[in-house]
Amino acid sequence: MAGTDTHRREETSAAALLEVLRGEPARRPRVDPGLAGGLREWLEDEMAPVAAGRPAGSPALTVDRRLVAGATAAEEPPGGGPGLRLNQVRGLLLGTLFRQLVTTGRIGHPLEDALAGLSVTGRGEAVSAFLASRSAAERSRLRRELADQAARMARRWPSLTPFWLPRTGEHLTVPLAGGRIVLSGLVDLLIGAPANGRASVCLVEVSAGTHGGDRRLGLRFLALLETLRSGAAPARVATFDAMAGELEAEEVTETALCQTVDLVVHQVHRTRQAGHRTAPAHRGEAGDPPPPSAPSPSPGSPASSASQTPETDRRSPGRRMERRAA
Amino acid sequence: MRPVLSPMRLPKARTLTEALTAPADGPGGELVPAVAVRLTEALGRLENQLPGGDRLRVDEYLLATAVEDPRAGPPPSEPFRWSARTARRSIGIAAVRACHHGLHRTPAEAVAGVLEQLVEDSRGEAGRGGSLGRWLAGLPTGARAAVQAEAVTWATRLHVSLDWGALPHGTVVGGRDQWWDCPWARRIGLRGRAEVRTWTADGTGGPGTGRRPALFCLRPGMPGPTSRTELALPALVSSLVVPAGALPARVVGWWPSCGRAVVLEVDGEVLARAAASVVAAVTGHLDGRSVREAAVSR
Repeated sequence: MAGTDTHRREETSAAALLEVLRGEPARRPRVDPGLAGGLREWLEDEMAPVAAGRPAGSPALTVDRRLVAGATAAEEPPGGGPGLRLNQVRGLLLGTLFRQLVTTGRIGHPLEDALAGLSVTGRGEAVSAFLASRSAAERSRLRRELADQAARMARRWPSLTPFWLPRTGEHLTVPLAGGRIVLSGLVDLLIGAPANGRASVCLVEVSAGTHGGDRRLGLRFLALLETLRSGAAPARVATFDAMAGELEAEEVTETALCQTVDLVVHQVHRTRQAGHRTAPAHRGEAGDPPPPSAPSPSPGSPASSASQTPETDRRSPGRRMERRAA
Repeated sequence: MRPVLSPMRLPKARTLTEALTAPADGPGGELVPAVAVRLTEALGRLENQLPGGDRLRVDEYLLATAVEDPRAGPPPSEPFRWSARTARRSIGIAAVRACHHGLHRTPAEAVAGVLEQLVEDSRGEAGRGGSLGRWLAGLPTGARAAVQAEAVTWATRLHVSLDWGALPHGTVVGGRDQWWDCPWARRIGLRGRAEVRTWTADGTGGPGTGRRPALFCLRPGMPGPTSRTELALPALVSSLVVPAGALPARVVGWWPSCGRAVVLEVDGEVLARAAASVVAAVTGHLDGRSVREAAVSR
């Protein structure tokens, strides 16, 4: 299944976006039934000492995309809590409108629709309070911006056939080390029936310029979670930039997944060394995203390289998998 | 035969369906009369501690909180409110049922149809302000879309969980929750909820190896230490309310968020443990309540 990443960027019509989402069905890789098991085993091996080193009775260590993608506190995605920033509010409003567009195919009055949508998902009060704290001119500007973005989104985003089984707000949770470490993610849009022989699922993230860290790493992290929970790697992952109406997609390869496992291990070890980022285990599916992560420098930065742990062989993820297969 | 779930086998829906409908081991529930008697006596004693007029519903949530922390007492009760999250199962399960009956081909279409029908039906519901249909009918466009989106996601999860064509005739999607009101404690009721009720395949022809009920439960999040107890509850309730001979063979719990399944083979021991957990949960609930009331009065 190993192959070269393809990275495409489209700025054209809804039909072109649809082609990017679908890819070429004949080129989709065959599902490697051992891959998910190998990745899980690798993670379990690496996480066991981390879990063992945690105090008895401590809450599960939650690893989310922001931690893996190296988001800083200033870049936290919207959580709906107190102290929302403008970017976060934009993200919440646009995300809600995207969900509406995918589900119903239309957006009527962008700001009213988004606020109404948030009101039944538990985030309405925080956003309303934020808006109420702004001047009339700022509110008016936000309304105009949102209307422009919603119009662009509605023009660019393709209508998906229900046979692709589009579902929004899909939670992915992978417990490791008996649930003491939990990998957790939220996919904005998942398309495709579960795999049966060939990779069939596409993960889409909607971007409103608020997700922190390296977007590509975050998406690959979600791809890894989907692989672990379903037993089959997704065919591709994509980011829909709702501000610009553009879609970026990449095929999911074994190499990318191995690198992501490596990155997860690395970031967890860094977190352990820093002695922070603990959160209660999410047994249920919280309506809101998990609590914000602690600041962490981007992977590859001098700080992260310096804290690399000896048990993590970052240079040869493929060799690790080969050893496991053997 | 104990069903084995291989994580390597795809599609998972086929594996889950085979695990759910595999022939049963044996009769399994011979101990039910003894379990029922012990449970009835214990709940009868506990009911006296329940404040006059109060009713207690024992469901998976109460069991889970009691098993996790027996001294925690009842969780603070909040008045029920409809939201995208509380509405998704009702809408989603009706949608999957519609797909199963061939009325719609996809969950998204089915959810849209169910929503429309609920709103339509609510127009004749004078005075039933708390119904889902009335709530939906009063929602603005954006809020109804958010509910619809949440329900589509829930319904799709259930829709892709099983190989529907391989399920036997008589499979029921959703259906009413099963309730068992304790004969000696009418104010304490046990609720058994399963998303799908179906049948196992015929076994070897020995005693008790014929078709038996099998329950499928879709769960959020990931399995935890109380999951087996939670799964045992619908089996216990089913054992208590249905005539002997139709005891569930197994309960399959499925956590699609993490792709994990738990297959609980139901036998007398499982039922006895579930009944003991119910008694412990009710005891914890009542103890916790009295502790809290004492704290408030001080």
